[in-house]
Amino acid sequence: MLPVSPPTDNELMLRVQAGDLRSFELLIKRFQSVVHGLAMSMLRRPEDAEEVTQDTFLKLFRARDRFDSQRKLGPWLLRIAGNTCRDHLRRRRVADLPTLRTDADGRDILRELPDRRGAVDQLAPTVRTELDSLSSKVRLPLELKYMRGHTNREIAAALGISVSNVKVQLARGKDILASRLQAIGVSWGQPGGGIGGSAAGAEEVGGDQ
Amino acid sequence: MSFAYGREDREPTRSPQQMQGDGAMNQPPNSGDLLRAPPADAACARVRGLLRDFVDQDLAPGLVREVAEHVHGCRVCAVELSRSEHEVLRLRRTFDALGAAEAAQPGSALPPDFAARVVEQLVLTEGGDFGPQAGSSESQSHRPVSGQSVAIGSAARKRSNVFANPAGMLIAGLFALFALTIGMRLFVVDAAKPDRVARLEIMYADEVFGSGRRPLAGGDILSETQGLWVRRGGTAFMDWHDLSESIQPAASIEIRDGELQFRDGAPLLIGGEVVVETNRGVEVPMADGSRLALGVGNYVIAAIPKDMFEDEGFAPGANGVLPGDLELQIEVRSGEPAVVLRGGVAPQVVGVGSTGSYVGGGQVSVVSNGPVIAGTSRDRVPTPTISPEPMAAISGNVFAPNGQPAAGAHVWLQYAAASSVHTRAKVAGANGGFVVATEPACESPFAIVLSLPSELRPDLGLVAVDAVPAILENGVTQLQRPVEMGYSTVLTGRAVDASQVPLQGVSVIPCIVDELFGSVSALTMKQTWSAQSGRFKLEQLPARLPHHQRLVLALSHEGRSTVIVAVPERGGPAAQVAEQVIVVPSLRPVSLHGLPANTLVTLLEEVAGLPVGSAAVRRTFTTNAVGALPFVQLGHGRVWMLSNTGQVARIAEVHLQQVGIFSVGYPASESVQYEDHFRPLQPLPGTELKVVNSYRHQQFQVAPIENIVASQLLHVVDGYGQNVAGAQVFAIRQSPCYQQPDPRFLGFTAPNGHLSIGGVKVFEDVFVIGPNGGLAWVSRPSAGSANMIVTVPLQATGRVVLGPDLRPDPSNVDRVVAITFRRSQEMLVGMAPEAVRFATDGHWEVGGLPAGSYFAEVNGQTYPVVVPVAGFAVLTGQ
Repeated sequence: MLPVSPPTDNELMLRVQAGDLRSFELLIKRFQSVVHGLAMSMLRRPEDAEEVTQDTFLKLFRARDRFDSQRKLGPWLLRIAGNTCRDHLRRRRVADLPTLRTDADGRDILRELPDRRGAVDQLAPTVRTELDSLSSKVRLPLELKYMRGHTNREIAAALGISVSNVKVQLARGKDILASRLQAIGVSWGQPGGGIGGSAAGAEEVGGDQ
Repeated sequence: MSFAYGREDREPTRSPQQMQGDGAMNQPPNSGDLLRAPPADAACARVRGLLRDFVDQDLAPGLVREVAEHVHGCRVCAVELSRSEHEVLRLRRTFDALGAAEAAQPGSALPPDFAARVVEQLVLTEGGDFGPQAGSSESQSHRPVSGQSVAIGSAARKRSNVFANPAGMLIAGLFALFALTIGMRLFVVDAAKPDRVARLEIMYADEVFGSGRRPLAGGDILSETQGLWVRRGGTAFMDWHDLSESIQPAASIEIRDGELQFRDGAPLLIGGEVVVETNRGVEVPMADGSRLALGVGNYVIAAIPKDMFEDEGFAPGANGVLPGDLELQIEVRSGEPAVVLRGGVAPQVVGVGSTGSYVGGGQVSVVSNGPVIAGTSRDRVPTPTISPEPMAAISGNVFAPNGQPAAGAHVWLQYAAASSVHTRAKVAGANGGFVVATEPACESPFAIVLSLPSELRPDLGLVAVDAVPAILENGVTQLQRPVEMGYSTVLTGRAVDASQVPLQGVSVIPCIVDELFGSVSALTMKQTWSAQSGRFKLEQLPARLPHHQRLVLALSHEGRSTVIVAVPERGGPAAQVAEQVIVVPSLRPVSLHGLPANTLVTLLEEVAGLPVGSAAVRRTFTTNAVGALPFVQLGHGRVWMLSNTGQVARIAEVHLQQVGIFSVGYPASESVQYEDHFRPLQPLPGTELKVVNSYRHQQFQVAPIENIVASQLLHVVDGYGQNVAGAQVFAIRQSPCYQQPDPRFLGFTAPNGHLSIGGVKVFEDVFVIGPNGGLAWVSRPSAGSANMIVTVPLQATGRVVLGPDLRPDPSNVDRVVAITFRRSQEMLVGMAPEAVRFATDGHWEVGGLPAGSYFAEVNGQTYPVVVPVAGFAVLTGQ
């Protein structure tokens, strides 16, 4: 309601460098869902995701003097978040992460969600099953791009890989999905049309790395 | 044979501008697809390697153009592009569902006070040293997070040596005592550090709401940019902690009716009044940019919105109205004086027992309050009232549907005075009331009103433009009924292309379509754009609309056809429609020939779903040397070609024939004058669409008109002969084309059903809309004798029941049916040819239709139906 233009991320970060905690709180509010989303994708446990999100912002604050105001804050923050997630994963030594598809009682929560898209989306559960069976190396770029809405550059920063690698993994993930869905007789590339071709050599074993 | 699939580094002739922004390789195509549909040549192979990034919108503009041009001429690659689009579409849908599942999981969202908790954690662990870091950042980045101390490196080794002998133990004991003392001091300092987070701590709250209408309670904390409003009769007490290291809290604040926000570490009063009890000197910012320096004492501050505009037109969205123009009052009840600080103006002091008032940079008017009398702040601070001096003004109230005042609502008023129309704007106060100074005094027995809810009230819907009767007493015009806001229903939708791929950046503008007079009023203040997922969300849409008006959404995107979507009436039975998926199709390729060579050609596309002649998209092209436009892109509506012959603009309809692609010769049809078909169109911001952008009451009688009928009295009765009060009467210009009525508002009928229609011109007809939607039409009242009473019986609007055979299958989740009624014969003058109604489960009857013969379109099929004067007709496909 007031003619006040909100400060940019970098302006806020400069204030944080001067020790302004209010600006830091504003920054947290601006980025907390982005960082939390990344952590949810990488860790897949809400309690771990919250802890890592908090650690990420604490690390950001402590590293505030290293911030280069000529560059965007977002990718840097995502890099910190990605590193924190990987540290956390190393500590946790996950071998069999629970998927988001089942709740504590083992029920498939996705199937219980009301689906308003009707017949058009009948294949979605099948696709989700296959997605969940992908390794995180292939799944994460897909999830960060098409679920979290990150750019390739942001994904690269968060996962600590190159943009080219991100693209390769995106294409690989799509090929593997197409291949697996073809194996069970599901059209992927085009509704009602033929299936995308076999991704020879693209198959890989599921499970996190 | 091998091709390079989209690898830019293998294209030596590419300029740097064509390179992709990230300089990375592209997503390789599916190898199976390449085997199934091998590229025909190197160009195909190259494009294949770009398709996945093209769909992801990760290509540089130059490459986007290259792919688009190639795909247009290569059917095989076009099919492959479609496959890529579906591939991404399926992924997005899957991940959408996955995101919904994640959100539904318990504990998947961060707690609301997450940010405050992190800051508190910092305060507790960092010892309050938040200034620029002196040491190496690397070492600080490894500081423990949880706050526990960790002995590392040489310091730990030294400590183990100290414990190796008794003397060492004594030293160690002393050191420990010293450390403990220091530690305790640090603890004390640390414990006090959270006070350095500026905030408002709510001690008590009754009828107090935060953003999203969330009720607030004692213990809640308002941090930066958060706000609250207090419902009438409610109260909030809160403590204000600022960033100063002095006494905390800096002040205690009581707010009754009003609204404030916490900005830059201080409370900012938006409207209403607060009582401030300070513990030390503080500076309080005001919404108009001024500041109040308060000492230790008791103060009452009131912010009263003032008039904002003087005849700036009736386009609130374009003006971007802000309630910054305030009258501010500061009363010093006890303690030290207050000082009004403003840039460029000398500080002015308001002493104890006085009240100072000021507007903007004007003089602070200080008056003594006399002896202090115990009582609430409401008793003591002057409330906005009309001056005892006779003053021309219009006053009224805005209420929420529960009868509570809609504080902070924006109100725009139009009225007639001194032979012209005037516009005023005002923000309703905490009690929902507003008083708008009008000089000269309002002369019309009504005002035209539009009202927008406060931004803090997303639960309320805006009140569309309508006329409100008014009574003039002692120079003050009082609106005869309050402006009643209804509840808003959030409207969500998703814009997709023909392949169901989400479209980002689609402009969505709600518009009100008048089914009687064919006008379109664009609510540009509610314009929004679709996100990357194609989704958009609209709030505060009209909760109710006047009779025979309906809401549509205009979706526009550069390079795509404009789409108009009818929206079920807010609050009506069909309002709970699920998220609408709206296809915004691409433009269609068209070839035109037989035109003058090397000439600028203007084409006007009408937009389906809006009244004829009320909207168009204008496109201009230059013909080639043989007078052709071999490849132009047009929308899917009716197309007209504009030509200026002499002083008169003429248009000729272009009849497109699909032979391969649409093509046309010229001249296509007989031309007509532009004004006979299109009304004056105004561009909508950020779109290619132009609409008439007018409303039913845009013109009203402001002065005696020459060539008028001698005074006649209109007597409006209902079907039973009873007087109808409050019917709206319009004069309508007879037009050669009935699709373009030109209404002029004359006023309301009195309780006896009468209205003098002396202002009707000889060539005008009279149109009456009853308070219940009934209609009547009087042809050429001038034909009658003067001083006669013309009795007009209102014709009730008919109803139509959707037959069982046309209802959706019971298993269909989306049980809402849109029915478009198009008249099949000439009816009342001024009647637009189209009306849209929604029927839904349990409410298969629709109403509000003038009696007559219609063609009703349901699910793409058209059926005839006769709407009776009384009772109902059944619409059936049998």
